[in-house]
Amino acid sequence: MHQFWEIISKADNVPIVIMLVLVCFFTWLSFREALKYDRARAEGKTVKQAVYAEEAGFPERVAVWPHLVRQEFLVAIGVTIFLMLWSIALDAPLEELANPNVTPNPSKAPWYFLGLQELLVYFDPWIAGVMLPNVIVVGLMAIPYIDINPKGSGYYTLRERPLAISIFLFGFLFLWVLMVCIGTFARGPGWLWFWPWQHWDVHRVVAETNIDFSDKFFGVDSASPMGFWIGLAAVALWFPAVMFPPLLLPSFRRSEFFQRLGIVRYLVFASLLATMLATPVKMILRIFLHVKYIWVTEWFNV
Amino acid sequence: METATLTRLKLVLLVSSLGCLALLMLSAFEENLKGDWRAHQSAYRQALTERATTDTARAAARAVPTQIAQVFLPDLKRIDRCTTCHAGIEDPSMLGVSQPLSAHPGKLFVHHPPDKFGCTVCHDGQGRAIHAADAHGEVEFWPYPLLRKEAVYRSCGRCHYDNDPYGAEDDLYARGGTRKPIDASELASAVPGAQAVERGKKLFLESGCLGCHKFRGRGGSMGPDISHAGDKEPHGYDFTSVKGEHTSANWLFQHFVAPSKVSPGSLMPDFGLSPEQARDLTEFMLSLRKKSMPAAYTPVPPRRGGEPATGKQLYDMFCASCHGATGQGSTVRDPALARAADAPRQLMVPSLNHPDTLAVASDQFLERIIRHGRQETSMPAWGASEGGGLSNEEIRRIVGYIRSWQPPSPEVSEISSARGDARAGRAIYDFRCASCHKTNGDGGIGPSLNSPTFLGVASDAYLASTIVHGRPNTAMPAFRMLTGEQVSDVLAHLRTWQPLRNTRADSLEMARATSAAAATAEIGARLYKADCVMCHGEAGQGDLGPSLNTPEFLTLVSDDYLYETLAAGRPGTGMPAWRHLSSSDVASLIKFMRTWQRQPSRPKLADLPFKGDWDAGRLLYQGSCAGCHGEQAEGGVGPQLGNPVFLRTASDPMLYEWIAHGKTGTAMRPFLKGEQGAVELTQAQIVNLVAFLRSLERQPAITVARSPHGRPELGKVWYAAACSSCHGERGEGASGPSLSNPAFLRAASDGFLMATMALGRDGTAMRPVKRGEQSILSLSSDQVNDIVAFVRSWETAPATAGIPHRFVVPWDFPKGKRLYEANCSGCHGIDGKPGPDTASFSVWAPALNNEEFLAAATDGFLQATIARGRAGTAMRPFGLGSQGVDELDSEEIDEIVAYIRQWSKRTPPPRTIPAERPEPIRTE
Amino acid sequence: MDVDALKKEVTTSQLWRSVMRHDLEDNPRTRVLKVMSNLFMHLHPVRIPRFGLYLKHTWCMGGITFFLFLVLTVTGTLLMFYYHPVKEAAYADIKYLEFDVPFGMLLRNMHRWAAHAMVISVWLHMYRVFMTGSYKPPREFNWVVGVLLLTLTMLLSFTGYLLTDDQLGFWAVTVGTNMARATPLLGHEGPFGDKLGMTPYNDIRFAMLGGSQVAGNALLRAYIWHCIALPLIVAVFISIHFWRVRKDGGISAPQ
Repeated sequence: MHQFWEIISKADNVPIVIMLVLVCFFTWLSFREALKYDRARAEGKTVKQAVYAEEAGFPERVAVWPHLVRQEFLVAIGVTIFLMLWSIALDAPLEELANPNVTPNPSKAPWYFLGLQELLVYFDPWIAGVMLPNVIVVGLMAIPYIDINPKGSGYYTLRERPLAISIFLFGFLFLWVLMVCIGTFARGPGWLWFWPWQHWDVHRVVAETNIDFSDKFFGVDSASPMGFWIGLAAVALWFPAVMFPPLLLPSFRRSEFFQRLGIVRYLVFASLLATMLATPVKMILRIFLHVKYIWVTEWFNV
Repeated sequence: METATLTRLKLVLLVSSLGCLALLMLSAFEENLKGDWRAHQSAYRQALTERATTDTARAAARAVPTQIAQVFLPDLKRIDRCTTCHAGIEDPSMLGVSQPLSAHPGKLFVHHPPDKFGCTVCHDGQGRAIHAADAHGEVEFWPYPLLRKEAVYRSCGRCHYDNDPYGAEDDLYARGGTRKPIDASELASAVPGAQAVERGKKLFLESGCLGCHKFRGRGGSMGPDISHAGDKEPHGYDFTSVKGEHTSANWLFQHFVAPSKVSPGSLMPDFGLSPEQARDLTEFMLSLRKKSMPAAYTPVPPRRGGEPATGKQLYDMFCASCHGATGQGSTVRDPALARAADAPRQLMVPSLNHPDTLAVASDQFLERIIRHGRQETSMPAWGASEGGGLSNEEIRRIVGYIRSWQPPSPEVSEISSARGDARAGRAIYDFRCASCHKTNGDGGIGPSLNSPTFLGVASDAYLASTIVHGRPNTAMPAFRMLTGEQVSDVLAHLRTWQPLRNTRADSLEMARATSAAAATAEIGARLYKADCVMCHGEAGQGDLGPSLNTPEFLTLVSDDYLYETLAAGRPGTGMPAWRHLSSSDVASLIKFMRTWQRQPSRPKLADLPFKGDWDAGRLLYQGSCAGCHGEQAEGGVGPQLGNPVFLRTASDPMLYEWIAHGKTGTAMRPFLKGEQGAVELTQAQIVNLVAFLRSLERQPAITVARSPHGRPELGKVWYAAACSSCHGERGEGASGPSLSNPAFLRAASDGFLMATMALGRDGTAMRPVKRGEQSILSLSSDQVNDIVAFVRSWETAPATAGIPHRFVVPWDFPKGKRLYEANCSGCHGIDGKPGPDTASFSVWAPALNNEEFLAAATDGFLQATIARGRAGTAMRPFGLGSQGVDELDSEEIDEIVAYIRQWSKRTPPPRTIPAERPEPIRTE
Repeated sequence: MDVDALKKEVTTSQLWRSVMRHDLEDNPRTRVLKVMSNLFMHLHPVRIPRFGLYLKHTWCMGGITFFLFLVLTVTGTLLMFYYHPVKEAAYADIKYLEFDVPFGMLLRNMHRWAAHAMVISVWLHMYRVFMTGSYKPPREFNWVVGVLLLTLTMLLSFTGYLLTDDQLGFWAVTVGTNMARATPLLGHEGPFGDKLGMTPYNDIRFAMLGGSQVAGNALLRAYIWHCIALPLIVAVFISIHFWRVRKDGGISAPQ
């Protein structure tokens, strides 16, 4: 536990703790607002009535001066004071002079990239370090064009856009924030998993035999041609397996959602979703079934 | 919005803005006014004021400013603000005051003024900081915390790399650490602590640390190079098993106290150092710095001088940690095994000091092994060109020191078979010699010893010298562990193979009796033709040996004289002792020789008129006789006069007669006045000469006789034609033994060489080569003499071809392989190397399959080691009668040696390989 | 002394009038003018939905992010006065800042913590915008710009990490850039990289670091990206972002 306290109180990790607190707080806040709104709507109020429930009777629009300006000033000063207090209380870390010959164990990327570094356990670097970050950025950019639900613009709601919010929260809270925390607090020397009460033992060795997908389930050497085709099939089939089942349901094809979305949008959305879901699936395969690679090729491994 | 709300908001804005400003002020205050240094400076001012006795002093005290003081040193890239707090550092009156105001102790500032050197160059820390913790560098992530007290001596090496009290390049080795520091008093007066470094250095040199650790280019390579150990930063160490702070000093200290605890699996032995010693050693290690300061700060190295390190000092430095202080051997940890298993297994380091080991190992062997090391063992290569850093001269000195453990060799001149006890000698022989020469002396690895011809030629001196000095680089060890008495015993035993088959009485009786059918001149003629003619000529006119047919000789010598000469020979010359001839044979020979006699014998000579003056005779001898008979009467053109048997048999009147009247038909001229000799001596002078010759009886025996006959340049030609096919072009040996071996040349007289060529050597492949009935060649006596001279020339101009490594000829390779695998591979590995799945070093026995070893070890060394084992190690004897693991005969041992030898790609094959295995010749 | 008279004197002077184009009386007209006639205030609309004032709705994360950007610009500029982006000096300059420069430690701390805070606030800003569905038409493009700004913020922080030239930054950047080795086609360890002739000396990582390892050139490159290139790009995108907020109908609110 002493170890855990040491990690938490490391100057550069303080922001992560602050972030965790803020994320929890704002998640709670947004849920509270959303539930409030949803309840009001259920009672039959209009959108505006539901949103402005508490401030009924006040004008809808207000002058920027002084209301907003003053708020901005207050926040700015508040942030300044907060920053100064933080700076006076805690010095920015400065370790020894850079020395390429002395490798700290573990070597960690900046904390906001630790989610990606954590993925290195499950994927080769070209996926975890290059492909996934790009998919994340592209996927985020694509959100407005995929989510064509006109409802919920400008106010908190869960009931009116359950799919969008659940996918986003899963991505943001679990695949990003949680990964950052794991990378920071649970990964010790050798990038091994250490519980908070465990000592970071540099010499710890975890014997773990990971085998490839085709070996595991078909007993075929993954480097053999047969293994190659099995791996390729597994990767290639994953996407249709996620994307097409709904399309097989006539009721889905006839649904208003699909009608509005159109086939192109649906395919983009489904493939991005498949990629996103592939990440936890691979993690589960790795952690519980010790699967190393799904698809082994001469040039790259998946 | 209501005015009240607005006002309240304005108020909030004002307050928060002011709060922001207040924080800025707080930060400014914290940064500028909170520092302890103000308090320190005011305390300094107060202290000065209290001490001030005069007004000016008081004024000066008041004038001490409150400010951040700093020394700016662009050359050293430093800004030291240490004097901001340590204000009294240069004020002698503050000496002993509590820190931070105390003056700097000692006189260090005389040569290191702080305004030129600053503080951190010696003390480390962070000079720029003005808060104690930062400044002292005792904060996280600053690898150079303040060096206090004696620890500051760790920094000296940064500048005093070449001439500091503990770091000079050859100070450590060449002078064995005896040189004095640049200014001992300065160091000692500064802070007591330099001594810790000095003590640590002494410990370092005397504990053999260099055996494993390289220091500035010298030392072993098992451990890390410690040339710059003081610069290694703490994060270079593994602190997993170290209690306490994570500093290099703490790690090193704990490591020295208990090496295996701090770095599990380390090869470092536990030296059992006391905490004080460990601390001293730590300080010394930390003082070993890289030279990192600008040239202006690096002093010029002082004049060099002092004695080079002795062999003992070098041995202690480099060898003792593994081979033990007295060469007793030890065990070291095997690195591979240590890694593999929890409990490190031990690897045996052979002992060096066992007399048997030193008896077999030649200087060249030891030098080569030291220079080149032994692959796949823990023995590193020490030669300068091999990376170990020792010069050839230093290696020679180490070998000399190792050699000094051998007992002193007994005095050869005091050894004689007559004094020995054959029964005691037999026991010694069976124990030490029989494994190579066989119990009956038939020979095996070593040559046969039991042939009467050989024993007849080989004098006690020859045998004794061979036993005591051995034949370096052959299988014949130098038995220096035997006493002179014991060697005498062995000789007595050897002489039992040469039994006296005749008696004086019988021989003389039969020689006198004219009717004795068993002893006739005819029989004598045949015997003479077989055994004597090679040296003494067809008609006894003399050839290699002296003439026998001169009237002066035949008329003067009695049968008794002839008998004695035949039976006892002339030890050390070419005249063997013919002890194996029967009484009738001796009588026949005497009778035959008498047939040359034309004048009647003069049986009774008158005694000399008076007793001569031997000292006067000595001068005469030097002037008139030494030219032919040798300075020490050891013989030359003329026979050896100092020979004890000769002196014993020849009476004074005989000597007088021969000197006075010469020997007709020989080079011996008459010397008496009026005899027309070259020199004319009076009777009295001749008597003096006789007295001198007689006096030689009391002198120590002549060990080696040299003859000036023969011309080496011609001998080289005859040698190449007649001898080189067996003995090698430069006498390095091939199927025959090496002749250029210095120990052989020291032991063998010219007469021995001549007689061996004339008579051959029974029981070996050596056949007579001088013209004669049994000879395989027909060399003339001149040629024999030339060859002797040529062989002798190697004594002064040693063969440069190097030591013969390879003279065992493989006759049955599969047998050698089979024998090796049955007897040797268990310890030495199937291929003479540790197997792929075993440790990196072989556990029980060293790897044999490496060029360094095979280049150092001769076949003889291998033969002897296999036959006799290696005392003090796990190597058991395998020779006949050795009662070891197995009893291999010489051929089997030779096959093993040949099998081992074939691993070497570099040592050249034997020069000459006979078409078939040479069989020993037995004449009887 | 008549304060009101003096106040009047001042506020009617030519100098005052040349700067302030409107009265100080608090009435709807001056409130509008205060926003309209001031460049900085002009970023705002004159009126906003009341909704936009509620912190529970906006979390103020966009504003905080922008403010932190300003703080970082100011402290960063000051830090630049004391910093040389060369291997020989960089670390010593940080020590110099800590020990010698007045307010140097405070400056460095504020820059560091503001940078971390900005990464957090930009994430939370995105969180809020998603939760209120504010990317929905007509604001789709501004969301795209926002995603770019989020990426750029992390890159700004990442490039700044190396500049202290200490073990922390060195290894963080080493680990970070090592991933670039595995870039498909362009990295020497990435899929097909070797087929395209990629080696450690010509691949994308080499381009990023100006060398095959994190050394002097990498320091200079990080410095230039951190202090010049990225801030300029970010400033451009922030302008677009703000401008689009106004053009796309101001802060989002239920219609």
